[in-house]
This record gives sequence, structure tokens and C-alpha cells, in this order.
Amino acid sequence: MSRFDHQDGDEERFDRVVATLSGHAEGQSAAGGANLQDPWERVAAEVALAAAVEGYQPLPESLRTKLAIEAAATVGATLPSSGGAGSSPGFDLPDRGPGRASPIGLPWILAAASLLVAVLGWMQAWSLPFEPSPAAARARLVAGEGDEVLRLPWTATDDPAAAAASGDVVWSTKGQQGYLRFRGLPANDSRVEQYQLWIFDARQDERYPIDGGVFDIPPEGGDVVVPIRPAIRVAQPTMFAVTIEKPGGVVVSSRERLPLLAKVE
Amino acid sequence: MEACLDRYGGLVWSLALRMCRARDDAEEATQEIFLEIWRQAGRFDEEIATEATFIAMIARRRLIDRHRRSQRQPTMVCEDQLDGTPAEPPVGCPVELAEEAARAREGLTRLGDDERRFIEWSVCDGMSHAEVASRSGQPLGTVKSKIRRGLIRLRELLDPQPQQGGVA
Repeated sequence: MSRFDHQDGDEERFDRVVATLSGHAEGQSAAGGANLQDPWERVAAEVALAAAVEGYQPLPESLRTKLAIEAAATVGATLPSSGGAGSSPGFDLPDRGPGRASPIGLPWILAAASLLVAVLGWMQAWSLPFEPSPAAARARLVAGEGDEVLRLPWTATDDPAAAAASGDVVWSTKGQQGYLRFRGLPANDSRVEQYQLWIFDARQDERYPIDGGVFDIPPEGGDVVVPIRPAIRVAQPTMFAVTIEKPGGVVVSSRERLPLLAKVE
Repeated sequence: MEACLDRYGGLVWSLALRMCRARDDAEEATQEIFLEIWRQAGRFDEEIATEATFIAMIARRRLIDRHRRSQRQPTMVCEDQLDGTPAEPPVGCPVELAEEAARAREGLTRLGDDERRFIEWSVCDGMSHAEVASRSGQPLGTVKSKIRRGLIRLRELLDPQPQQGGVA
């Protein structure tokens, strides 16, 4: 018999445990904190950990940079300076008690963040003048990579946005870079909607294509070249698709508006 | 701080993507979760749980809270991926993280399909018993007993610390 086999009244209590875990307990306030002492919270966390690993997506670099900067600005104001019992996850904090990890301390965290900000500023200041335009970078990719580079024409759907649209996709799996080129795709108002690229990969479930980034089409007209920014590594692309989504894009597209496709034959 | 982002950024981001409707929501949630991690770092106790479990606990709680506040159903990004036998971790997942999750994945494989699915909907997606029943088309009582049975089994497998009988 399991040592957790329930006793009289346990079913009801257990239902409350589950309601708490799922955020549906009556009178439950925002939990916020993590209660390591609660065995059910630990079990739920392990289930969440398994789910995260199974659907693993690396943290986008742009978000990572933002987090590092925000953390540097916030950590000093929020971390307690003493007390507590734990060592600290993945980074070192001022020592919190006897017999535990003895870390390097807050000044190092702030110094590292300051350095990061300085380096980012330096990169921005010095790299921009030398950065080729997307059109030039695309031309360089096409010229330099030979047969390895995919070059696929857009196929218009019956979405109104595709009526006069043409162009192509250039993609190098080896270099993990590529560009979209459009002519005649209507300009969008980025406060209302944005275009979003999706990359279907033979090694991914086709219900969950890779997010290739959101982009805008300016009103000036002419050729528009947009760099592809996949959220994760693209292993074996089978199709590129452009959808129209709300500003900022979506995690899963309803594909209600899908003006352009480019299939790998 | 940098190490924390490197080690656990993907873990938090993956959970946020699972439970948030839109990418900008997921970004906001990720920022909120990391702020919470910085704040709560002092409560971590390596004798009770691993770092990954601690981070997942904070992330899960924050995301459930956000879900409650918004009163919206999360987009089930991974719902079907989690049906059946848990898959191998995708390419790009840090080896250490995959190893830490292996125990939980192994535990989940020992549950019935419904038990596993219902638990994931409940604790990862913040669905109530009634919502799970409605979604699965199974009676409420059946859903409750499957979640109860599955969680008890998981706790025995994952958190085998001496306990008194009954529910903690």
C-alpha cells in the first residue's frame, strides 16, 4: 500500500492541493514566491521542468541582453544583504550563512553589468557604419555560397495582401542566415499589425514552425530586403511562410492571414 | 547573473512560451520571472531541490499567477507534444538541464496517458479540474481521481522523503 494512500477526507484536501497548484483555490492570493518546503510544489516544478525541456527554446539573444541590463539595475535594490539559508542559483550572491557557498558578491554583478552596457554601447557606436545593408548582405550571401544557398520565389495565396506581391527567399542553412525580398507587399502600420515569418523544418512538428521574426514593410515602395532572424537553429527548412499578426507577433499563428509561401522543392 | 541567464534562460523562456498567448507576453513574463529569481535567490536550498527545480518552481508560480490575473486560457503551444511518451529533448537544450529533467520525464513515463496529460494541463497550464474535464470530455470525478493518483505516484517517484500517511 502506498504511504500516500489517502485517508477519510483526503480526497477533498487533495482537490484543494491541486486547485492551489493550478491557481484555482478559493481565496488564493498571488503566490509569487517559491515554497521549496511544499512537496507538491516541488513535484509540480519537476513536471514543469520536464515540459520546458521537451519544448525547449533557447532564450533569444535580444531578450537575454535586456534581462542582463535590467537585472543589473534591479539586483542591488532588491537583494537582501544578509541572512537566509541558501546558496544562489547559477550566480553568486553575498554570503548568506554558515557552511554554504561563499560567493563573489554584488559588486562583481554590477561591474559585469556595467561592462556589458559599455561593450554594447561600443559595439553600437563602432559597428553600425561598417554594417552592410540587408540588400548588400543578401547579395554577398547569394554570390558567396554557391549551390548551398536556397533561393526560393514567393508563391502568392489569395490573401489580398499578396495581390501584387513577389520576391524571394535566400537562405543558407550552413551559415544560418538568410534574407526575404519583397516587391509589392503592402506597407503595414506597425501599431495595428506586423508581418511575421515562419520557417517549417523537416525536423520539427509542422504544427509548430520556427518563428523567423516580425518585420515591417515601409510605405516607400520598391524592393524591401529583410534579414531572417530564426528563434532557434534551422536544420532542414521545407517551407517559408509569411503571416500577418498583431504587433509584436505571436507564438502560435492562427494562419488566418498568410499571404506568401516559399516551398523547398 | 550571466551564468544564471545562460543556464536557465531557455528553461524560463520555454515555459513562458508554453503559457503565454503572444510572444510579447512571454517576454514580459520572462523578465518578471527573472526579477523574482533575483529576489528569491536567498531562499534556495540545495539540500531540498536542485537549482533547475527552484527556477522552474518560481517560473511556474509566476506564470500561473499571470494566467489567473489575465483570466485567459494559455495558448497550448506544447500540449500535443506532451501527449504520449515524453519526447527526447530538442536540439539546443543544455545537456545539464536535460539531465536534470530526465528524472521527471522518467517519472512521467510511468503514469498512464490520461494521468500525465491531465497533470500537465493542471500544473503547467493552470487548468482547473472542471476545465480539464471539459477539454478531455471525461467526467469530473474521473479527472480528479486520475490527477490525484498520478500526482501521488509522481511524488513517490520524485520526492521520496519520509511522510506521514495522507495528504501533506
